[in-house]
Amino acid sequence: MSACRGFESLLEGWLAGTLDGPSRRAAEAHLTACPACRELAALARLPEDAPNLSDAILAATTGPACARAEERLPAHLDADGDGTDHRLVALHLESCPACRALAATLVAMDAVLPNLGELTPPRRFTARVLARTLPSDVRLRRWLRGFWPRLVQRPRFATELAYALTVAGVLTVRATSAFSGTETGVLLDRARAGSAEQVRALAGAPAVTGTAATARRLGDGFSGFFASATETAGTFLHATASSLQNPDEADSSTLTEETP
Amino acid sequence: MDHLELIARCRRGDDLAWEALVKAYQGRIFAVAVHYLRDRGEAEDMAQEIFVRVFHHLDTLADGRPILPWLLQIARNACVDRLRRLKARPLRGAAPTDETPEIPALGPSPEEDAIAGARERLLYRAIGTLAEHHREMIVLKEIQSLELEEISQLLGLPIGTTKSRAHRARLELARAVCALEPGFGVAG
Repeated sequence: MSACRGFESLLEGWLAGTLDGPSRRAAEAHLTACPACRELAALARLPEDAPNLSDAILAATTGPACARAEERLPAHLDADGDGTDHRLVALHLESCPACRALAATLVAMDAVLPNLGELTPPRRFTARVLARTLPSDVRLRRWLRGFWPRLVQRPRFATELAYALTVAGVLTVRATSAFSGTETGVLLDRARAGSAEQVRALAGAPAVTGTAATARRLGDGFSGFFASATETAGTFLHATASSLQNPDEADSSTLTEETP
Repeated sequence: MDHLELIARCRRGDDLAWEALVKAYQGRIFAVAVHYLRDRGEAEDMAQEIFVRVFHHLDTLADGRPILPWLLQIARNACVDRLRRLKARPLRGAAPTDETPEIPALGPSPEEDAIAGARERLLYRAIGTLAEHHREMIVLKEIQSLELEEISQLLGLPIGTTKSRAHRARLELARAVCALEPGFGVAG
């Protein structure tokens, strides 16, 4: 009887073929001698056409084990946690295509997710950050450093330069031609040709008085021109200062290199 | 260049060092803002704001502490604050409700333009369907590769809770990916 108990404890291993040599020989010796255990062993052998009953049995008892397997999948894939859990999940994956697909997705995700760690920011991002963080004197220094290249590289620079030269030319010609053909013009020609004493000797002459009046008129004209120019420059500088303080409204690419 | 050296120079007022620091981390910070806010325009404003905060708090980085977790902490706090303020005006693609989330079927959204690769875009869409706390966990652990201890400190959660939340977030994301593209795992 105790020999039969001993065989029963070896039965599963004998059926699975996992017994070591001495145990296997002992089990086979007992089978030869004991008809009852031979019958038991025959019953325990899995028939060739045995149906897979596990789904039906699980449905009638605990329900599918997928939820539990899914719960343990991340730790299983990280080779983290209990060894038995690890083997149980592996066993489940062998027979469950849905959980296998989920496990494959987890593995594939792990390879792709780090690629989302850095995204290319919009152009001028660096410039905008620097414009909001660097001290104003640093920003002004950087802005001035690039002022001349930016000015020259503007598409309308040639037109603007031509316009400025034209205005300067017109003013010059008008200034000199204001006296031509008049008594004052003659006086000026004589002054250029003669000495200072000769000009001083003419002081009080009507021509000199006229020259002074014309010079005053021209002076007033230039004063008006310079006042207008000064106001325009002031407006420009004010707008520039505002744009430095509020870079979102300005082309802040001028502050630093572009971010590709 | 050594980032600790960069920080030291920034503290001394070296604007070139600050520029280099911005360039080194702008992609990462922009990505965090995109993942939190799910809106490219908002994310750009947010990323700028984050760098402004970083600039004004350079002195608070403890000597020898790695810079990335510190930066991410500032970024995360700023994004969460922003999300709170935007609650009254939800962003497109923000935290999903109980209803089945809508996955845009048309062309890529503006923020998806910043993402190269079809698989990356699919993952981005799937992340958008996650609950907010799971999305955060994916961003910090799987995307930014922070350690569990760092995330635990950052979120003020016990390490066990952080770990289980990280596992659940991965699972939820995998299910979302399977729903969008059942062959994702096979095609990889």
